Amino acid sequence: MDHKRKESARLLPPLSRKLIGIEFGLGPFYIDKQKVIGLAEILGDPNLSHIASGIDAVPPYYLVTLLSDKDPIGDRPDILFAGLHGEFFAPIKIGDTITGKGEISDVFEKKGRSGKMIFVVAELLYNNQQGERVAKLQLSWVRRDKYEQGIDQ
Amino acid sequence: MTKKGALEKIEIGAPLPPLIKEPTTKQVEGFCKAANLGLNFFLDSETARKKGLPGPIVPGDISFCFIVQTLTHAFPNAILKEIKVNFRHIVRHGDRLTCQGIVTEKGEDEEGPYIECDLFIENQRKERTLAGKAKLKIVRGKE
Repeated sequence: MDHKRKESARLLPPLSRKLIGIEFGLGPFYIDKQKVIGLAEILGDPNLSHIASGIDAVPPYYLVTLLSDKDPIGDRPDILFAGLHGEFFAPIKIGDTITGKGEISDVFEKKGRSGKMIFVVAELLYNNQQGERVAKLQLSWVRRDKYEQGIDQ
Repeated sequence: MTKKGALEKIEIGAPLPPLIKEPTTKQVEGFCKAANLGLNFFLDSETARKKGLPGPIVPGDISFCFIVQTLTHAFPNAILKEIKVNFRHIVRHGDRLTCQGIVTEKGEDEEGPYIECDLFIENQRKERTLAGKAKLKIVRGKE
């Protein structure tokens, strides 16, 4: 193992069960029509003409752009996005202002074929300007525990 | 056509029309900007290698967007109610992704007619980079 890489990995705080319960804010995010169309264009959405023709409900995938810069996990360079579970309760529309809250809900270890992995799970709840719940996302990230740091209980 | 009529026309086992995607560096750059993703390993080779990756990778969020597009393209008259995906392999810039799905169930619940689908994305090496499931509510028949 490269000694320098091992040392730099150890500089990051360990993924800890103490993260569970940490809350962070989401938004406010104003849903701008040009931004929605811009993202659909970037991603080559085959429904682009449908979206641009005046339909006011935004594509459900737009929600993944509404994450938080205050999220204590998503910006760590040592982990990868592992999964997403989304539930949609009401359409998000052009002109809406979306806010919500996120919380780290679990940190756990799992043994896979390639060795030990550490998973971190966060739950995000989104409401519109009327206070109506529009969506819930559960995001999970994984770090292969090749440095055997383990979880700080 | 009624919602029930639309549901009757959907067959269990029917494949969704596949979407072929080849995410480019320009797309990754555009997405990272739109989503305020500040992680350099999506765009910078050196940072990606330091992380132990073979090169810059495509954010899992983009794969999620592609599979949702596959659903909304196949069922423009349905509303996505629930989706669960797992990212199984990294996706590299320029990979050729086939985004596909299959109808696994249909029925009616308290909200009306619905369908369920299995979803997956395969790369050009036939590796499954994403697997998942979704439930959609049928809101109207095709005019």
